Amino acid sequence: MKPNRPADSRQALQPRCLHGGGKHLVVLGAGGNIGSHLVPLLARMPGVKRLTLVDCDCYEEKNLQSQDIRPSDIGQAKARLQARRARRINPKLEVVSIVDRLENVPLGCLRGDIILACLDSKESRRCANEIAWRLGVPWIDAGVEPSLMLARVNVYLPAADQPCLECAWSERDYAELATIHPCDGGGSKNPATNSPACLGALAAALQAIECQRLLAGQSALIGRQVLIEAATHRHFVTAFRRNPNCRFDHATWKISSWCQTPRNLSIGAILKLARRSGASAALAFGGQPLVKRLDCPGCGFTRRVFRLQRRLKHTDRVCDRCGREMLSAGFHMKTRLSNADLGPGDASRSLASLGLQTGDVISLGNGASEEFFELRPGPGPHPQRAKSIQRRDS
Amino acid sequence: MSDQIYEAFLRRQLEEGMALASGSDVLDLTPLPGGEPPFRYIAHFEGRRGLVRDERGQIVEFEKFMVGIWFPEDYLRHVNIPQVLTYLGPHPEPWHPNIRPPFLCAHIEPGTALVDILYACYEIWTWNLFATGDEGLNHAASQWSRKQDRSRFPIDRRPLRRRAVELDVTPAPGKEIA
Repeated sequence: MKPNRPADSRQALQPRCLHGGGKHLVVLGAGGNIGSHLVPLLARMPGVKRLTLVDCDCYEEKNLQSQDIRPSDIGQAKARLQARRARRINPKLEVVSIVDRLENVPLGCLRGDIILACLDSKESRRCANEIAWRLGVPWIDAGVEPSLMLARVNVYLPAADQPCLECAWSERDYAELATIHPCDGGGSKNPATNSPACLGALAAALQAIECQRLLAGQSALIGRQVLIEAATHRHFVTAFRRNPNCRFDHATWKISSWCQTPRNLSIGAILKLARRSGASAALAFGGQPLVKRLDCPGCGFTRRVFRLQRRLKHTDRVCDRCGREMLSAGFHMKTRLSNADLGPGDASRSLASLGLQTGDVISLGNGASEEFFELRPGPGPHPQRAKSIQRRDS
Repeated sequence: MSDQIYEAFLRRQLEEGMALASGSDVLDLTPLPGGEPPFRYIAHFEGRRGLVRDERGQIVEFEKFMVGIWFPEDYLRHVNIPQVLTYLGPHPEPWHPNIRPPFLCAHIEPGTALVDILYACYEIWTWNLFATGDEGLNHAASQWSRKQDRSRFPIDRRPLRRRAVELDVTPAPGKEIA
């Protein structure tokens, strides 16, 4: 893929933070220990016009001590509840809530002026880092460590000379990421952080301060971490450097809008377009694999599918015979789709049938050179070619 | 390929994997087309004994085993073992706690080298490596293994790589080598 990297951090900061109008903030993990304290602060922040709140969980009784909620909130989706609170605080604010896992959310829905991450696992932070870099959006990560009463905030700016989250990671950090084993049913849920509400509120306040500074075009904390040790009243500032051996490619995608919904685009028509840019060109889905077959690791039951792995339906994933979660083996997946991979009738399928949604990013190319497109509804200047590749059978 | 770290990793795997295959009488490693350097391989092990369940339900020895290995673009950062390893046959019922077609469960971390994966697969196939503490992937094979005499395992003790033998032959005094 061809990265489109800003020349340096100063250049990358300017276009996002100095353009006029209200700002769009995206909060990942919006309802948790940090997020539930952060959302009201953002709702009150001057210059903010829109909030997108992402959280896949619902409030449980155990959250009452650590999160900014009331007993009557138990059972409600965290993102929706926080969205209602934000609207009550600032009725002029546009608030969008997304109740889904971060990796399932279409990339285009997360394109804001700043991404704020209040996540509780290394894996989801890794995902947030990748999203921010692909979109070229500055992001602020916050975290807490209750046993030592630590609260910290890091600011990252996607640019060629800037460190990312993974620049500071060692082999051990990667080894600590949750590995998906076929024998444990495809993964496990992270344990709760059990952090006191006051520590979450401290991290949220730090994050809101840095957000306000970024919106004002100040970049003092970019590439740095502020850590407060609340138990001993000490604080530390650490600067990170771009690691030339970082395992993350640091590529920022230049994404064009394609004003077509996934329902109106067929695979065959897109591949026809892809062929114009080269004989070996293929269609890819932002690195997401396409699953062609699922197998049950429990009883061996097999099911044919043709869908993105992250967009498999619940009915696809559950074994009809034993109820276990079905998985796909690597040799039954594709990350790039060319004509040779299509079976009878596959060419006329719409992108929606693969699980693509509005806001998803697809790419056309041959691996060495890629063009990225965000699928968006409504009229608009689309590459003239879009007209010629509308689904023929619609 | 713009990701130079991933590309360098793939080149190293190709070099080391092919070196292992050329030093082994058992392993045939085929890089698959579709990427340069390749990111998919088929490893074909032949000539070392593993176990399978035959059509009569008997556990018998079998000497062929194929596994597909895929290094996805994020392999250095995140591992999904079912994605990396696919059991490809040829026997439909391999008999091991860590194998249930098309899945094969081995210890893999982000960035685990191809050679280490090949050794892990080989050790699983020959029962040098098997889990007994839990039910694993193939529950029936796990339960079966717990009832067996432990001296039965491994099924094959011969190494994957051909051992280099350096012989220094000195003729006995007064005798000539023909």
